[in-house]
Amino acid sequence: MEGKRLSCGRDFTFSSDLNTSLSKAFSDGFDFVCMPIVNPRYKREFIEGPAVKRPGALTRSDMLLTSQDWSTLIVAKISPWLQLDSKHDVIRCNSEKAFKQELIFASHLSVPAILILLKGTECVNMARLINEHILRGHNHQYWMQIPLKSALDQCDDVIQGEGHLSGDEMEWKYDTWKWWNKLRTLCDTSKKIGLALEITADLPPSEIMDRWYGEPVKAAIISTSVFMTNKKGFPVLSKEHQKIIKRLFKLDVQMIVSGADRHPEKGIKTYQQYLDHLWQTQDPPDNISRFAKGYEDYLQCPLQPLMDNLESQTYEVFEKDPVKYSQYQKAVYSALVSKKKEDDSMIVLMVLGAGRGPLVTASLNAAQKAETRVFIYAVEKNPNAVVTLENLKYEMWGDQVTIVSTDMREWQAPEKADIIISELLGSFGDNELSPECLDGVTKFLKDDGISIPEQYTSYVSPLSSCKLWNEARLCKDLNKPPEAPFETPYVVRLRNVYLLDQPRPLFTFRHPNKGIADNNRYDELIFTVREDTVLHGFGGYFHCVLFGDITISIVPETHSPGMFSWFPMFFPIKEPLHLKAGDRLKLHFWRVATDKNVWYEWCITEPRVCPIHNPKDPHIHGLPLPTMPHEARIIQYADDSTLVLTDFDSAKKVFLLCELYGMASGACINKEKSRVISKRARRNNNTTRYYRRKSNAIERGLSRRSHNLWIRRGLHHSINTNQSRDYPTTPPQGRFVRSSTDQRYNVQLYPTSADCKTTKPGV
Amino acid sequence: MSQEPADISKHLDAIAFAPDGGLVLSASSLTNRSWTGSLWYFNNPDAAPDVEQVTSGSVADSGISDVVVMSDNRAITASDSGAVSLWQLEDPNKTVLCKAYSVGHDDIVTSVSVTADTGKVISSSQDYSVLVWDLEIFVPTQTYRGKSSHYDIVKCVCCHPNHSSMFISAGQDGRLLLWDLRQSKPATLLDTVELSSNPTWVAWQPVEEHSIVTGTETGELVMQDLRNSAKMPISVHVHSRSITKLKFACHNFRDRLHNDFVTGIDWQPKDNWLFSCGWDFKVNSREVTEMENLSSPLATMAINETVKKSPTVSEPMDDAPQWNGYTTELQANGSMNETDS
Repeated sequence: MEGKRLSCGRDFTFSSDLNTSLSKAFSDGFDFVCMPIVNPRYKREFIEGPAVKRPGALTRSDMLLTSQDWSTLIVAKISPWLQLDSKHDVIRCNSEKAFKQELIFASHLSVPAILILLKGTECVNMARLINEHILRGHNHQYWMQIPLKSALDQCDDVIQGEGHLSGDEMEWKYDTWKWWNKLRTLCDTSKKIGLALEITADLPPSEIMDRWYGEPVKAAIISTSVFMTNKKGFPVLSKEHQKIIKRLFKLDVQMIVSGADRHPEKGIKTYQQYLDHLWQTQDPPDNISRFAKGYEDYLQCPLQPLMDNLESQTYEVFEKDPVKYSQYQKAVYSALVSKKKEDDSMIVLMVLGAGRGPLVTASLNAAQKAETRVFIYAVEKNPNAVVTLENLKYEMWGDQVTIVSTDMREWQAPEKADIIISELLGSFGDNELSPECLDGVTKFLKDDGISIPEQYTSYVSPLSSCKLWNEARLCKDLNKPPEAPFETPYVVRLRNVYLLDQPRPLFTFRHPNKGIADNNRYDELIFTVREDTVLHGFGGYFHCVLFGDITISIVPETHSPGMFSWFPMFFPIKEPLHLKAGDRLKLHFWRVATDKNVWYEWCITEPRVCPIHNPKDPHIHGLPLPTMPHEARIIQYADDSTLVLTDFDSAKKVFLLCELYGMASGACINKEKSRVISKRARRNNNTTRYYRRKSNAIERGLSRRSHNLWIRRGLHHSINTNQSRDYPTTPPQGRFVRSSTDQRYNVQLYPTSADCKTTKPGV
Repeated sequence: MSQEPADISKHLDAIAFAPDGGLVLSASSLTNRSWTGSLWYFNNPDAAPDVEQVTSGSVADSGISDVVVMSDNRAITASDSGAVSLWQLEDPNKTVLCKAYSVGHDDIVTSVSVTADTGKVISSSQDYSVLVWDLEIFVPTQTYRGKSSHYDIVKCVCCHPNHSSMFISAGQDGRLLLWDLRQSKPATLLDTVELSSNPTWVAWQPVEEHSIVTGTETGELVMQDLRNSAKMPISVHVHSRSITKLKFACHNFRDRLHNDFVTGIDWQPKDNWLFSCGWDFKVNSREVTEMENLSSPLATMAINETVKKSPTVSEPMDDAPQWNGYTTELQANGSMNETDS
């Protein structure tokens, strides 16, 4: 925040000379201007009559400014006289043609944004025209200027007599958010359409205001008529307005000052200075905001530390959290105090998932404070982190700590523990498979042993954020089914969102888990929607009780202050769902756990039934072939087989199958030499070398290094390990669909051995 | 602001006659580099818009969309910069001098009107507001904005010719409001059922005190009586495009002398000549003589008949100007004829 300035622009409804207005605006401290492209009074006729042939230029020449200036300093404004949704064909056609003319000229100038006024609910034709223009691929934003309170809403104080609109009509006319919702839904929630919110003198109630904070507000326009004058004659804003503007600052909006200079003795720059003053006097960001800077609304794939080993950098970042470890230390202290025996015998602690040792250090500190003797087993599966642990043991901890370099589920502990400590929590609590891991170690916890954490609960709240939904939409991958980006959760620092209702608790896990370890869960939650809105997905949080009353939590109401180790989760839905005020929203959530996988599924049944998201398809997906009824095929070249699959899950299933058969036959896949072939295949003379593309975190789970997969003669036969490293250069024509560059895995899977044939390159 | 520009900007926006018969012309430049305007005075009206024969002129910082000339040789103009200006035509050369310039609106001023007692000026603007100005000190005394009664562009205000606290405003929101400044809630919504589209211009009928004529976007004229609600409003469709200005005449006619939007019309005080200006940079004049004298007791019938019967001096539709300044005439006996120019 420091060092950055507020970006403030000046809105000119009219300007006699472009360069003069620009230099005046800059000398007044503004950074950009909003300027009409064509003179706002210059009505044009396109249909018939001599006016159609009016001679002369449409507007000013683009040579008045350099193209650099056009594309950075000017926001183009569309003429205000257009009536694109008029019921009279002549007026509408003329408006349409004028609108297109102005849009095209603005694109020609390459202005960064175009400001279009939205006056009411009749916006369908306008939406169509904007859509058409967007699809032409021009690279600017469209800012829809919408007032917080409609002009109609602010009228009628001076008019005698009653209003004559029906109840429904009145609501539509007054609720400007509905105008916006209608327009952006018509334009399919395009990323290019943003909001320029006009802050009016009268403000709507806060429940209605809150919805705007989930919308893509790019700019806030404030008229000089909204300002009041303080004792010294300077323009200031009321407390209510200040609150709203400061809230909008958090969304990184640009301010625009419009209207005549109402303080001519002080000058228009005083308005800009006041807004800048508001910007500078914002509350300083708290710990979490500082840490999260740059990550707001940025979708990330959740970490999977069980499958992947974390890197040194990741450990370093997490160890910086000031709150988490102090809470753990407090919890361990309380636990030790409760376990303290008269004879001061050794208390056995196990730190499961020790990482680089911060929990071990915290436990030792707690033990010192509690004046108890402890012996700690530090269990860690990541051999790289074990290096750090061993060093710490050598230099600091000494014999009090024993390092165990193994997966806790496979460990055979030499003795039972009094207290087990772990931090295996993800943003949704159990999503990093803490229950599965801890279930594996319950067997060596003493009967009266304590587990820290004692329990954790996941929380869900419905939210509206077309920005996040659009980000998810952009994660479309050609190799995956089109709905895949909506069927996976993301970790994201939620900022540009509107929460529809309070978070409610979902799944709870308690440790130690003495009963039967079934970590499958199913539950339904009911939310009540306060205002008319659009649902884009759900936010996920967790609340964890470490011991007694010591907790860590990222649920907004009970968030541990300053704890930044976890950002919330975001579960998107495939299609935004329109909801009315008072609607009951019923969400069903599943946690499905098998031997190999754990995943979440979710769906909505009220107010409308929506399909279940993320059901795991048990089949392996390969390429559909024109000749064969089956989807998949293996291509073999001597002892090497190439499998063409459409998604990574199928590859995992293949490996699973191979393992199963391998166990039956005694053979195994040569993991050393199996390779996941990337889509960027580069031809190099006669050989085609396949390069592995930088894979994302999910893929990392399969192969840090290359795996070569050879399956000989179908799945029924024994698997051969083969030394050859080259893949078949040219897939045989007609045998399988030529793997296009869009295929990630250059493999096709055969269903039966009979179909497997040996092929030679070039055939 | 009294430099005389070298040329008259090509978009002529309004004309008005000074009491001694000279023509006041306002011009704006709506394209090209500078969007400025100017105000001109022609001793000889027929010479307009020749810049060589101009008597005096002055540049204005922005386009001027409306001009009102008062009997003491003062003019009020509506500027695109949101300002309303007061000009004086000073003797002996009738030099155009700007006496006051005051920005009161946030957006383009669409029209100005002077009250009957010349004490106040009313201005309407694209910022959805109507302002009442005091003529002597030239500052806005009342603002009808925010709590404004229009929720879209206000196209026109027209003061009552006799009552100095009444005026009408018409807006693109489809509303026609009758204002009475003496009341605490000054505006009254008028019935606009007869209007098929948004009103663009409104004028009080000179003879019948409580009748108004409204022009709309689709070229129709509606006359309604405000006092007598039993009397049905009369509406006639006369133009194919939006109506820009309204003036009253005694006879019928129609001509298509302009090649572009017709933006201003006014009567020469002494003779029966009607002057019009438009965006084609032409000032045309024609004599309006009696072509048909109709006397019919019922206004409605008279209108229909006159429309059918009036011989129109017209060219085929293709050459017609799109927007015509329209004049309505009212005969003393109450029949209504239409003319357009």
